[in-house]
Amino acid sequence: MSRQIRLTATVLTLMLLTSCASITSVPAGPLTLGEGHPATLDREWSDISTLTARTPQVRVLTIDGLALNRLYVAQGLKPGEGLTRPMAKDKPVPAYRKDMSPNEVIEFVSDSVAAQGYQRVETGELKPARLWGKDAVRIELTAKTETGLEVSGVAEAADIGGRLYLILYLAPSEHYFNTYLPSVEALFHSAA
Amino acid sequence: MTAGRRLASLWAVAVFASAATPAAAAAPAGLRPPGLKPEPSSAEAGMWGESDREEAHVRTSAELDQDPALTAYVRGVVCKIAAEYCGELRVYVLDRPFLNATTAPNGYVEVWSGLMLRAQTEDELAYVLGHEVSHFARNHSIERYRTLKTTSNVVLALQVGVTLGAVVAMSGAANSGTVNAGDTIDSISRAAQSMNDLIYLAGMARFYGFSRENETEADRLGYERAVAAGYSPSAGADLWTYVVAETNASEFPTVRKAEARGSVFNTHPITADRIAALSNLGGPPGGAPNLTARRSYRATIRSHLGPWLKDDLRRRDFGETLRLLDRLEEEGEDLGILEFYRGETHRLRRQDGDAAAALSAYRAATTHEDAPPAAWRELAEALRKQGDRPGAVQALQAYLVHAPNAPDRWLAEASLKSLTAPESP
Ligand SMILES: [Zn+2]
Ligand SMILES: [Zn+2]
Repeated sequence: MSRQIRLTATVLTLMLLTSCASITSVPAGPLTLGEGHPATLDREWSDISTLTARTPQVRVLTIDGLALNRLYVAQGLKPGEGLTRPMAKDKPVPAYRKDMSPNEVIEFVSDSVAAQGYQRVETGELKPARLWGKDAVRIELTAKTETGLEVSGVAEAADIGGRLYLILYLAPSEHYFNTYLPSVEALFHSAA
Repeated sequence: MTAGRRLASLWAVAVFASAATPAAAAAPAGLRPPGLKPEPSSAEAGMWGESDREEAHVRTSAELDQDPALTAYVRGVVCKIAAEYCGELRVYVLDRPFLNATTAPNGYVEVWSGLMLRAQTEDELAYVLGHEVSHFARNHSIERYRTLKTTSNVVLALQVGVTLGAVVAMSGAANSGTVNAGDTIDSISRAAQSMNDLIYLAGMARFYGFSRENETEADRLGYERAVAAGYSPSAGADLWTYVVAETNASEFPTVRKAEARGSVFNTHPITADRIAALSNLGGPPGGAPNLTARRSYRATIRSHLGPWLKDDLRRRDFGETLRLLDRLEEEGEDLGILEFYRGETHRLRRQDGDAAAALSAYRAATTHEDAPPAAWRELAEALRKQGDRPGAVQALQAYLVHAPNAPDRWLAEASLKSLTAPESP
């Protein structure tokens, strides 16, 4: 493992030097999603989007690192786009599609979680919600990491003018999920 | 498993096998003696321990199938074809939608659900397991080691390429001081890499795949083992012929054109000459199907059909999934489940004709006892899209009868309300 850490440190240094990848602070306060959709963060997060294979409209935020908490904010996915970019032509990722039924949006969220490498992804409670005054669906999820660690998730998703808006929070069920859940609920609330 | 682990274990497998050659060579007929153990405190013992750690990792993996009866069944087949190694081979079924199976030199056997879903009889499963056990019995990993030495630079490049998740862990974030190294880095790289694993393994297979000579030999020895245990002589050729047909049906030109068939990260590439050689041994594929054998095997995997098909759809190779469904439907059993997944496949593919094909598959599913409740919900959605409001209402009502406590009941009710409301101008 120490060899891997050294390699990793090298990669990190290279990435920071090339400046195409960076971690930026997202302070508590207002932020605008997509085309003028306002929301508010009640605490500081780190934006690690450029370190991930996300699509351009997706921001990836974390507090303690990707394994401990991650927040995907998709600000208007166009048809054909997913949370992440496909690695190869014959390895497509789940994509948002035109005229998805609400069940297909739920399926898109759950498949997208699985495509991040989570196993045994199951949707739990589903509830109606609102995002910027439009009908949205609130999705509770459970999953496992490949090593068997239990993960919980909650998401709100809405099709607004043919584009998908999605806020998705994932964290280990034990301790971490509940620690920052109030902040995520506050974010949902600010975007209702 | 993560690419890093897999790499470590490949090193372990390769180096150990190399060191074990003298012992294996001394065994009768060039086969590894049962109960082979490395000298304690030798380098081989350390390598063996590495394989043991990989096995321990698999034991807690989220992909490990949770049905002990299924594992016991596969283990039983292994013992039928390899009685002499029965005591030292430990079987793990992983729910991974790719056709693969492996045996490590320490005796740990991985069987992926993608294989179990595609085998049509126990005979076909036994043939593949016989092939695997033959690699084990002949210590074929030595060749892999030789390949490895010449490709270590490539390996290094790949390793750098897959540590991005760890980079994120180490670089920390808002509360970077609180990150707990060790486990965190490990689990982050796992989570981030798991899907990439498959891509990574595709690359690995090119470097670590067994040579054609080894494959031919394992085919022959596996065939002999399976036949000696009373399994059908044509099972191997039958299964590989099907796999070629499935890849020919792939959605992706790269998969259709590949000379070596099977899943791309399969370390046992299936080629036309292998099928020809097997056909020479056991007669051509495509003899009269043994319905008893098929039905009995289906009964063994029946409870897994739905989850495994759902996993298969994660590959998003809809052409292959449709071909697989054709095969699974040959016996005329499980049509509620199978037609539902046929509908799902067409719904997800969204090409010309898929909407109509999905509709008719969902409709067919709902005529069978074993249809999942979602078949009615999806039938309703397909009918609604077609403009058949009364049909959609009827199907949604049936959905609510079949799944009265569904978490999406409110969605179905809202949909019912809009379908029965007077049509807006
Ligand atoms: Zn693993
Ligand atoms: Zn092989």
